Amino acid sequence: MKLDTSFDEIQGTLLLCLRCRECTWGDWPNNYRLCPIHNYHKIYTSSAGGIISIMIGLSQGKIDYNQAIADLAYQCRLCGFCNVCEVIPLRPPHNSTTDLIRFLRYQLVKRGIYPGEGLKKLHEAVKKDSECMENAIKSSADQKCDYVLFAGCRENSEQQNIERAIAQLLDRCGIKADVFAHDNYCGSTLYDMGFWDELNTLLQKQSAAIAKLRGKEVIFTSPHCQEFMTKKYPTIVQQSFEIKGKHISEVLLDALTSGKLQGKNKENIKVSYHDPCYLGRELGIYDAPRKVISSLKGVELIEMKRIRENSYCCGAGGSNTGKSFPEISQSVAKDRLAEFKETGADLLITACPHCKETFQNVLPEKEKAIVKDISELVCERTC
Amino acid sequence: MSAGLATVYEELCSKIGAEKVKNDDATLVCYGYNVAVPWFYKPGLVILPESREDVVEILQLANNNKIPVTVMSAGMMPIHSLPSEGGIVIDFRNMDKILEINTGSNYATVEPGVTYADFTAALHEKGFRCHIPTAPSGTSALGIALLKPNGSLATRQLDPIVNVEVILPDGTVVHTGSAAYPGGEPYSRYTSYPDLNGLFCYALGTMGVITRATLRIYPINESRTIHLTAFDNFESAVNFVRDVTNHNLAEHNVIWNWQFYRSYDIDVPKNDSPYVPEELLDDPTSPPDDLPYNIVTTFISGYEEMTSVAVKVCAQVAKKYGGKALSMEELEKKCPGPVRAWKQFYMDYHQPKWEHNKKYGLGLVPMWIVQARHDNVIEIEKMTTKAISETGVRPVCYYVQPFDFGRAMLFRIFTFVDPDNHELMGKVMSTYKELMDVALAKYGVSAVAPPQPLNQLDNGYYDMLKRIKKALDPNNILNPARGWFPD
Repeated sequence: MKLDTSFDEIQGTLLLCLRCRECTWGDWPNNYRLCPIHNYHKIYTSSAGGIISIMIGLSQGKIDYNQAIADLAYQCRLCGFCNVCEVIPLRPPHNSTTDLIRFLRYQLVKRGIYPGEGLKKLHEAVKKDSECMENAIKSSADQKCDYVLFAGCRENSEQQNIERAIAQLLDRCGIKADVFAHDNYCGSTLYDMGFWDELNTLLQKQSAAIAKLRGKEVIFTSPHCQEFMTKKYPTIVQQSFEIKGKHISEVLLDALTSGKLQGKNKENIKVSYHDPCYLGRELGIYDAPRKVISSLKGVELIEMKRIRENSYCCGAGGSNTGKSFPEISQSVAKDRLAEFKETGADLLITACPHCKETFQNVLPEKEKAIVKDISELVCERTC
Repeated sequence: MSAGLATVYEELCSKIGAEKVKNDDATLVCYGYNVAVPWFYKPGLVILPESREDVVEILQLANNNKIPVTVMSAGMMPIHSLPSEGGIVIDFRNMDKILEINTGSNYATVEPGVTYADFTAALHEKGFRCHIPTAPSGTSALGIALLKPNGSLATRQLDPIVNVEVILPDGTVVHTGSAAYPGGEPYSRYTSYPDLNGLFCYALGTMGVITRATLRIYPINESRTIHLTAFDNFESAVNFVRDVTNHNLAEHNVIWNWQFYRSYDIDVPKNDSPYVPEELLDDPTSPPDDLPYNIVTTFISGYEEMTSVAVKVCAQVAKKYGGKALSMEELEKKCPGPVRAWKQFYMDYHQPKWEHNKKYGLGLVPMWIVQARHDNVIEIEKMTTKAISETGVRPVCYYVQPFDFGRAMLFRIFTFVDPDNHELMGKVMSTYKELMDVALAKYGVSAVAPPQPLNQLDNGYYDMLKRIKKALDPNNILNPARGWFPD
C-alpha cells in the first residue's frame, strides 16, 4: 500500500465488506476459527470486518479517533488470515485487509494516539534513532558475492543463535554470502506499527544500499523481512528492480537435495512444524520447510491440526506487536502450544525468529528448548 | 446514555456478567452498521448472551425500561435487522451449540449462532444435509431458515422450520409444535392446535427472540446426479420444471439465464472501477449462438436404480418441451464456472464461498425478488428482463426455482451497478419500483425484495398482526426500526 494513501481512496473498498465473517475462519469442513483477536474477545468488533466497520465510521464522522480504537487496531496480530477475503483486494490502492489495518494504525499514530505507553516510547525512540539506522546502513559491506544474507533485526540472543546456525550451514554448503548490514532494518516493523513517516525516511536513506541488491540473490532468515522487501517494496518504494529473495528453508532444501548438506545419524525424534504466518500465507512457502524436516535422518514430522493456509498465529503479531498486548499474545501462543502438545512430538520447529521467541516466552525455562528454528535443527543434524 | 439504558446496563452487568455487556464506543459504532452500510443507527448496548436465561434477563429489563432490541444471529446482520439509535443489539454469536442431531427422525436443534458451515459439516459427518442458502457460510443456519424462500434445495418443502423456542418481551419462554407437549420432543411442527411457528418465521425478530430451533434435515442419498437441460425460451423451461416437479422426479430444479451462469466464469480484474467483460455486454435476451438462453439444473437423488430411470424420464420430458439434454462435460468445455458451482451445490451440498459477492468488482448488486404462480412468472421474466436490459446495465442475471411442489415459483433478478454511478443506480432502482408496481397489480406476486410495506397488505391481515404484536410486545421494543409497527 502506498504510504500516501488517503481515506478517500479506500472508502469504496470499505463499503464492500459484507460482514460475512469469512475473515475469521478457515476452510470447510473444519471451519477452524483462525482470527486470534476474534477468538480472544468473541465479538464482531474484534475482527477484520469489525475494524473495517469502525473505519467506515471514522470516514463518515460517526466516531472520532480514540484510545479504544487504538487498542483494537493494535490487538490485531496481523497474522494475515483475514486476507482470505477476496472482496477487499478488488479495489486498489491497497491489496489486502491487513493493509487497511496498518493504514488505520498510521492514522492513529499521526494523531498521537497509541495503544499504550510502550508503543509511544518506541515511536519516540524510532524518531530519534534515524541517525543510528543510517550508520547501520553505512556499515554495510560492499557486496561482492552472488548471495546476500539479510539476517533481520538482532533483537535478542535467540535471534543471534539462529544467525550463528545459518552462518555454519552456509559455510557447510559452500555458499559465500555477504551480510547486508549489521542490525539489518528492512522497515517492516515500521510499516506494521503504523510509523509510516519514519518508514518513508528510512527507505529514502536506504535506497542506495538497496540498489546494491540488484542481480543478487538475497537469503532471508525472517519471513517478515522477505515479505516486506520482495512484495511490499515494489509498491512502497516503486523501485525499478525486483529483489530476488529466498527463505533460508529453501536454501537448505536445495543443499540437502544436491548433497551439499549431509544428514548425520542422531537419535530418532518426532517434530511438528508451525507455519509462520508471513512465510506461509504471505509468501506461499509451505512445502520447503516440511521437505527439509522430512529429509533429516531420524526425524519424523507429525502435523498439527491447523496447518498451511489454515495455520494459527503464534501470537507475536506482525513484527512482534505482541509486545503491545502481551496477554493476547500469550493466550494465542498457549493455544498453539496446546495443539502442538496434542501431537506428542518432541520438538516444535518453526522458521521465523518471532515465532520462536513468542513460543519460548510462554514456556517454563526447562521447556524452552522444545522450540527451535529450522536452521538450528538442520545445523544439529547435518554435516 | 439514557437513564433507562443506564439502569439496564448496570442490572445486566450484575445479572448476566459485565463481560457479556458492551458499551464502548468502538463496539457501538461497529454494530451500528448492518450489511447495507449506508444505514447507520448507533445502539446503546451490545450484548452477547450465552444462554436462554441470559436472553430472558435482557428482554425483561429492556421491556421494563422500553429499550428497543434488535437481534443478530451469527454475525451477518441482514438489511431486515436495523439497530435502533440508543437501543440494544443482541449478538448471538456465542450461543452456537448444535444441541441435537436426530438422524432417526430427520431433525436437528440448534442455537441461533450456529453457522451454516458448522451445521453442514456436523450433518455431513452423519450422512445428512440441511437447506442450502444462497448466502455466505458464516451466516446463521437458523437465521436463513427463518427467511423461508432464501433456503434452497427445497422443491418439496417451503420451510425448514420444525419448532422454535422463543422468548417474549416479558420473559415468557414459548415452545412451539410438538415441543410444547409435556415430553418436549421437537419432531413435529403440526399438532392438534394452531401452529405458532409461522408467527415467528420471517418475523425478523419483531414478535419474539428465538433462542433455539429445530430444523428439517435430509439424508444424503447414495446416488446423486444433476441433469442439465438447455432451452431456447423461458416458457418451455418453466413448463418442463412444472412437469418434472409434478411427477415428483426431482429433488430440486433451478432455471438459470445465460448471463447468470456465464458470469460464474468471469474473473474480475482488480481495477479502480467496476468492469463488465465483453462477453456479458450483449443483450440479455439474445444469447450467443453456442449458449442456451436458459439451462435447467434438475437434481435427482435416491437409490441408484431410481436415479438412472429418473434421468431417462427427465430427458424424455425435456424433449416434450423442446429442451435438449446437455452433458456436464459438454457444458464444462464452454463454461467451467457454473459446472463447478453446481457440483458444489448439489453433490457436496455446500458452497464454501459465497461466489457471487466476489463479483462485486463488477459493482453492487441491487436485486428484485418475488414469488408468483408459474404462469405469471413467465410474464414477469419477459417484462423484467426487457425493462432492466433497457436501462443499459449489464449483465442481467436471474434464476427461478419452484417451492412446495411448484405451487409457488421464486424469481430473482439482479444486476451489477458501479456504486459510483449514482445516475445509473437511481435508474435501476426506479425501474425495479415500477416493475414491482406492475407485478403486484397484474401478476399477483408476493414481494420479497424490495418488500411490500406491511400496511399495504390486506387490511384484515395487517390488523390481526398488529393485534398479535400488541399482545406480545406492548411496548414495541422488538426490532422497531424495521418500521412494521409504528407506534
